[in-house]
Amino acid sequence: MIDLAGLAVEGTAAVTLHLAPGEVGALVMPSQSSCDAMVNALLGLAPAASGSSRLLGHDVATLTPWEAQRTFRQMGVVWREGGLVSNLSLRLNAVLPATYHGRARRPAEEEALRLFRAIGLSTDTAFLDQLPANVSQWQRRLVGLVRAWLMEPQVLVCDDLLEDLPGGHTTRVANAAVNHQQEIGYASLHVVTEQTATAILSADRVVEVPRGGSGPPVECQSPKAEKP
Amino acid sequence: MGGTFLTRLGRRSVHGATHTAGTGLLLTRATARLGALRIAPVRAVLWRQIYFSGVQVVGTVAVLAAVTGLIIVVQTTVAGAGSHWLGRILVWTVVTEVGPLLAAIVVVARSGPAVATELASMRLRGEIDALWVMGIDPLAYLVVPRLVGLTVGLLALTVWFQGVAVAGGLALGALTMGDPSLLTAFSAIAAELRLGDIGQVFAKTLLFGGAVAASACYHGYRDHTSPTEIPQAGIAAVMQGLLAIFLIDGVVALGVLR
Repeated sequence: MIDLAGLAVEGTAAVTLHLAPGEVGALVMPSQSSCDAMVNALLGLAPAASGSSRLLGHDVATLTPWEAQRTFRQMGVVWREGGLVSNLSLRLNAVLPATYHGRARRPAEEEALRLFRAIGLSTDTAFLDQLPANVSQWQRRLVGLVRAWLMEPQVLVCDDLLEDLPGGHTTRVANAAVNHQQEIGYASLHVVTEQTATAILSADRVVEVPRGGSGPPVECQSPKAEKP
Repeated sequence: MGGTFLTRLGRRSVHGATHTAGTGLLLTRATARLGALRIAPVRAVLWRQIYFSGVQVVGTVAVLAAVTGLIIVVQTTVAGAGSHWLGRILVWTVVTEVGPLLAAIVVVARSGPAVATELASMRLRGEIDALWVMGIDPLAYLVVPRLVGLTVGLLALTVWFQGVAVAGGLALGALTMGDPSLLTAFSAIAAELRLGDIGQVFAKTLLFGGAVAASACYHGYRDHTSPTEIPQAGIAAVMQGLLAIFLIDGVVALGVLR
């Protein structure tokens, strides 16, 4: 599902990680910028300093546009900034990829509303009809999470999903993410800056990535495995 | 001094050739993806673009067209032309020449920079990358509907301009000059208008629309690394769009001459 082989971005050590279907992994990066760079590198959007990334069996560096479309439509990506289309309302953003790939709009919207409620986002029309620029970054990110879930992904990649969530939302979103992942059974990779996030998200594999040149990353025992 | 001038000229020529080639390539790649218009979210973008380029501006274009028509009617009448000549002149100027050109200039000035800066902002905010990793082809979702929508919008706007300029020009002329006989020019227009003229105007407007839309999309869609490039993309879209429509008009005029 997700195979990172010695993948490194500028300023960090190399990461080797394999995630099978149903597994949750976490990369604890030294900074926000290294999180963003790692997500871009593992998706093949920016060149990595070294190593390679395979998603759903495909090396992202050698994907043809056609293969990329086929691969990415089986994935969900949640960006720190949300990655929403700026001229679409939050409601339309949430269902965009699902409807683009052939799903009917009405059932997709109904499911989006259910997922909005599950993670504590408002389902008021006034909120849903807002443009992304008019809501906060964490709200855009959560709309991005719903958008990714609606794609029924086999692989989910999240860029610091829990960062700066207001009180109460962190646990709610983390629980919803864990439940959804267990229900669907996709491989999920969280690129985070806080080690604590890995415990909340019940990661099976945690790799703390040190800054570049300070040796290979250490694969930690998972918080989940430590539980009795 | 001469060397510097030649160097600049050479650099600008290479720059211009690069943009022209890039615009042509984008147009080709977008044309190959026209089938994407079957996809519901792409159609939604198409309707929005037609509304923005062709519908939202009808009031302003109506004023421009009526005044243009009035000027031609007044000048022609003052020069002593009868209603038969007035009809012919309105067809030659408003229908075949000024109508398509002015409508295209309005679209270049209004929709060109809007499309270019919107796409450039989306590129800088990472929205195009985000579309890519959702398995959405950004060319199909962003460029194809803008290309088609802007071209269709321009076609509609041209027909609107021509109609308002002829009808409004004659009506305003008759009203302001107190000469109801001017309205008889309508029959001369109907007699003068040939299918070939209509075909030529249609083809020219399609070329205008394609060129304006492709240059706007190209300057917005290509790689941008800094926010300062956003207004530059808008300016480049206007300049390249204007250059394209005048060149196309010149070539079509020469074609008619032969």
